[in-house]
Amino acid sequence: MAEVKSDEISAILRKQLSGFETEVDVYEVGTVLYVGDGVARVYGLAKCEAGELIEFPNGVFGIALNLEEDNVGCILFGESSLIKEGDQVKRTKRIASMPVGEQMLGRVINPLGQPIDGKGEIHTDKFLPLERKALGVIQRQPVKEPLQTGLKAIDAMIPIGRGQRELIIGDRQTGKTAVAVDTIINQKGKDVFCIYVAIGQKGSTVAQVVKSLEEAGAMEFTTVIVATASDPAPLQYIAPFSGATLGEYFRDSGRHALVVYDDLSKQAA
Amino acid sequence: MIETQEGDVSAYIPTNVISITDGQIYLEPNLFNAGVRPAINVGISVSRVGGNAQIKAMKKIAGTLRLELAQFRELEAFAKFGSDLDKATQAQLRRGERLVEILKQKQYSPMAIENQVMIIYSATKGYMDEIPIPHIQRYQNDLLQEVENMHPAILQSIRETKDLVKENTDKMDEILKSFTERFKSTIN
Repeated sequence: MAEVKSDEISAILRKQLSGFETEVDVYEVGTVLYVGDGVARVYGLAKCEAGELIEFPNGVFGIALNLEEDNVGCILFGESSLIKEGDQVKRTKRIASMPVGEQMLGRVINPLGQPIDGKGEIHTDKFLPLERKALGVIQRQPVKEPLQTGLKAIDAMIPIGRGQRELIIGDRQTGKTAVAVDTIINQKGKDVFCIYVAIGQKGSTVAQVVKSLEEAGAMEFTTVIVATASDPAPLQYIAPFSGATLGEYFRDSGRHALVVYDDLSKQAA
Repeated sequence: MIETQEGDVSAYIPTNVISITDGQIYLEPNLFNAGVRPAINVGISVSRVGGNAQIKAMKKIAGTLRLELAQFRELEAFAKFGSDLDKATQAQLRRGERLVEILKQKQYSPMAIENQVMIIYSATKGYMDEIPIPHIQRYQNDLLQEVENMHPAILQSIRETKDLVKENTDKMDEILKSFTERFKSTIN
């Protein structure tokens, strides 16, 4: 039997101990009870906040919307087929938010602020929550400046002002999107940032709009937010919120923004 | 933006959205198919904000436009009976047809506000009354080209002051008169 050298053993012990981390990664976890229709019920997230971002396995995120006594209901922003009963989920302690900034201009993103145009990552230094409290009456200004659409019929007889919400309504194939796209194109050189939110449309239709905006040189000041018909319902539900959040970023930095929601009947349905 | 089914604006979602917005632009398939594009039904489209959503120059000429279009729509239905119409009615119909024509606009071609003012001014003042409908589009293009090349100061003044002063309207009348005469001679 070989002789045991005490200093050798202590050297090995010391080496092993030096790599020991005293920090502990503490996070609250829960267990998936039920998944279906883009909704998951999770047990064990007792301190979860409403609107908090929840991390599921396989890179799927969700938002906690229903806080009940013994479980939490989350809407999922990914395929529900990637999640199964008994999966472990983590709290992120962040209220659902999206990145905002000028870097978003000229890009096509999903409602969570992730680029989907294949032009690489978007690096912004600011995040804003998707659900924000609206401004009170005192902070608001009256409508005092026109928003020129460039369409004679509208600018002459149905004038639209900055700060106004105007509904474009009509049957399919009557040119609703055309009115909106023309208005975006007309903002060129007018210091109005545009956000086009496509909800529940076909991917090819959205690609067509992006192409016409590019050809008109309007993408430089425009962000396109897309939740197509094939995206999960929660993503379509949240799309107008992210459009508004991005618009509010421009508002809060003292600039003008035009947000187009195309169309809300698909979001509501 | 809301898509309706068969023009039904009294359904659940449309009524809700109408109530939370400050106005609506109503697009109609009938107008669209009749070649009026954008197919805006001016009669039931509204904008519920004060007059500050429009520049002064446009405000001055839009009143006449709206009124004459409304009169035209009323007469149009009546004139379909084909009875003999008096001179004044015929003139109103002729004016209305031209107003409808200038409000047509091709896709992807928004127009600067000063150019819009120029065209609507010339139509409401009756300079286009003698121009046949098929030539109205060319009349607009040629007119804008002429004003841009020969009298850019007028457009610049509308753009910067956002107003239509007497001095400019006098000059515009002069330009329009001579331009219309010259344009008429190119028709035949």
